[in-house]
Amino acid sequence: MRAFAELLDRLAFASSPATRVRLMADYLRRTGDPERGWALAALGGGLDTARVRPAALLALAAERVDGELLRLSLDFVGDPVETAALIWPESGAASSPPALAEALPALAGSSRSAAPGLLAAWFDRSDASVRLALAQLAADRRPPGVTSRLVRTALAAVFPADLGAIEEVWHAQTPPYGPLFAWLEGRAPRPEAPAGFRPLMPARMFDDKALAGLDLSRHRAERQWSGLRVQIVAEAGRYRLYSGSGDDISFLFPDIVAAMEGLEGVFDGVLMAAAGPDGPPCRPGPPEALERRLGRKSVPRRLPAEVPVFVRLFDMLFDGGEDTRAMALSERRARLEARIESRPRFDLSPLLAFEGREALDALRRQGVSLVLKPADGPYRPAGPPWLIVRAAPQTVRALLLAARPGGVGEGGPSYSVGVLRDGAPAAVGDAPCRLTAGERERLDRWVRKHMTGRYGPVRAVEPALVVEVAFDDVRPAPRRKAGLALERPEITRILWDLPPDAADGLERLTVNRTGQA
Amino acid sequence: MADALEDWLRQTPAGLWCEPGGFHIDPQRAVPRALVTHGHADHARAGHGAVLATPETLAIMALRYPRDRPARQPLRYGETVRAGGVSVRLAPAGHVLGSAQAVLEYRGRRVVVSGDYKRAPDPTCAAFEPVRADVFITEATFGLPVFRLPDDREETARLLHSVEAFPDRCHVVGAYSLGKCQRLLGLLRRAGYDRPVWLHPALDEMTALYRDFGVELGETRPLGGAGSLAGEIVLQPPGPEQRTDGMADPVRVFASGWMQIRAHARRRGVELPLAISDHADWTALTATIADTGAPEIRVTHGSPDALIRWAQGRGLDARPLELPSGSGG
Repeated sequence: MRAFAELLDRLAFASSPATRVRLMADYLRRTGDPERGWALAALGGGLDTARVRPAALLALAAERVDGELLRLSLDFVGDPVETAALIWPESGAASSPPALAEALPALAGSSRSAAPGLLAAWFDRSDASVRLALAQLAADRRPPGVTSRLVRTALAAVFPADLGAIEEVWHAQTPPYGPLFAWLEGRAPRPEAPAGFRPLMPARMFDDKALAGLDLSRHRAERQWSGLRVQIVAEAGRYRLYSGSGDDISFLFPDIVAAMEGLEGVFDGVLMAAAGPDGPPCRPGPPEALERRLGRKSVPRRLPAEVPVFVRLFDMLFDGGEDTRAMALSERRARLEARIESRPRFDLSPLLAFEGREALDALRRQGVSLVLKPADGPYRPAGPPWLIVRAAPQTVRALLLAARPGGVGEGGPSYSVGVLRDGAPAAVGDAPCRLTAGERERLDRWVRKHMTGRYGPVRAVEPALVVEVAFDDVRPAPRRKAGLALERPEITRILWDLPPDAADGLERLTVNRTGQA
Repeated sequence: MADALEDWLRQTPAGLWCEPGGFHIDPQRAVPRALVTHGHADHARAGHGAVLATPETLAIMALRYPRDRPARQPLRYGETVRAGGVSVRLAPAGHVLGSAQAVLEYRGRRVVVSGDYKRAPDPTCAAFEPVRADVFITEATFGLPVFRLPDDREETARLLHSVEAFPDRCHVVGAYSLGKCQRLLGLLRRAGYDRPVWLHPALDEMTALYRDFGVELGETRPLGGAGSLAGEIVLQPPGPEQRTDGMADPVRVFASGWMQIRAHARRRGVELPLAISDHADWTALTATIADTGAPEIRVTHGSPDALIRWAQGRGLDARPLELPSGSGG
């Protein structure tokens, strides 16, 4: 447990994914069964533990230390979880902390009311670093930047198996992953993985210059959809939905899983919020609505009806039981169209017809971001990626409405911007800025001087400064006063000399120039 | 009944003033006569007429303030001098080389001014010596029960493990030039690390001074055009003087008691925080108050409230002693 506590501590301060992978790999090399398997579960989120709330942790500490000392300490430390772990009285006797292999399954198997008692007993046997690790496990806090995918990447760094092979068997395994390690160490055959995740074709940004060297006649183009990349797996009556990073998210989308009934194969697509419950054809709803369906531990019964979703498919890895990944895209696409036909909650990403570069650029000027794929290319995750061609940015003159400082790991500040609607400003998006340091400082000074109110960290300002905002597209946003929002907005210039009424009106922005169906 | 403490030892704008002795203790501004507990800049200022301190502290002050010419009066640990009606003795404080507690006796009452101190063993300075007192004036830099620092051997092992796990990277450890730098060298040597350690120029002179006083620190090399230093340990002063140009993907390390708190470590932007301090942690502060047997406690520096609360809970007469702020980690 001490080694795991040290790993958590290092991960909390690691500066890059590469460092996180190395730290985890170093731990895995030095740790045996079953401890390392439980560590994978703790890091990769493969376990649903009873959550001990921070207030409950503080209450445990309050039973053991003077209330005033606890209050002073909490004021200083700030975080109740950390305060409780640090202030816990130490007996001075040699500590004998529980193994992770003892603590984690016990937490997972305990009820919310029993978990604090377990924790207290372990705290009494542990030093501060182990107490902090246990408190984080119990509070269900994972180190920042550590994903399930990153944990598997660390496995691939330690053992002679590639990430794809590990991902294909991962989801059939459960903590503490004995058979998985046995296979990785060559002591046992590869575990069976029915309805497992298959590695996805990657896609990467492609710029204008590279585009000039591309033979467009040999490529297919599709719109790049706003949503969550997913893999649909339907094999022998098992129906699974995986995120693009290989996490099993079936339980979050019972509506999609139910709609898979009778399907057979493995498919690639994008999960999107739907404008209505029916389809096909499915109509996309506001992309931000999807957030409500993600990041949950369980799904309230009414949520699927309140926030309907659908999957827009664009590729097929298995057709029935047949592996189609080596086939050309054009053939996979033909099979996909035949296989899906008409099925509720599923439709197909249409192929965009275009003749040459000019037609492509015309589409981009209409605000369409595209994905280009070689028509004869196989589905090979380790091969050349698909190419994302961003829409040509458009610009609008907008008013600065509020400033929000950048949080930890969020990059720089962002600014709420708006256009004029009946002469009054209406917000259309939150934009980061692409400005020189000097210009940004001048903007900060302006914000401080023209602040009209504070809402938490957000400072509202007088609507008096005109800025140029570049954006990719306009989408409907029924909840906003403006009724629409900019996609990927970015402040590119500050027009210091323009009066506020030089800002553009709402009529300059129109939704869906290409029509999302 | 003896005189009240405040009749002969009290706080003034210049610092703690001992009236019958005619001297200040660790004064914040230039005074005619100063007793200086140790060489950190917030305790040892330039410009005094006369300074009483350990030979080590006087040497440190001479190094730091080369143009300063006070009358220097060295007083070794355990020796006693009289100033007015006050007898003055210095006892080891275990904080840095030469650090001392001031043991003052006047009309049968003994006051111990702790200065900065720690109880953890430190291979680079004399160990803290508890002194029985009627009044104990203690620092409280880490005067909160969340500050119970781990064994410095464990923290050293964490650094060495990281060097082993990242042999292609350079470990850049932030450490103050007086005390922390040499203690880290001592800890590394005690842990069996015998490679040369690279020193930023700002740490050179003080380290040489430690060696002059017979402290073994192993081989150090000056930083400067030294290349990538992959797999090596570099000690640097914290703050803007730090240099990482040319170094292989530096791992930023910082050694300080504040590193015990994650938010502080995060604010520092370090990748490996080490909770190693030259100040007493909560356990040491409370144990030391008990060791002095003093019924009267005055608390200064850092977080006095919690320590006063704790001492009052044990029936002691504990109160804050306001001092101008500022102290190192």
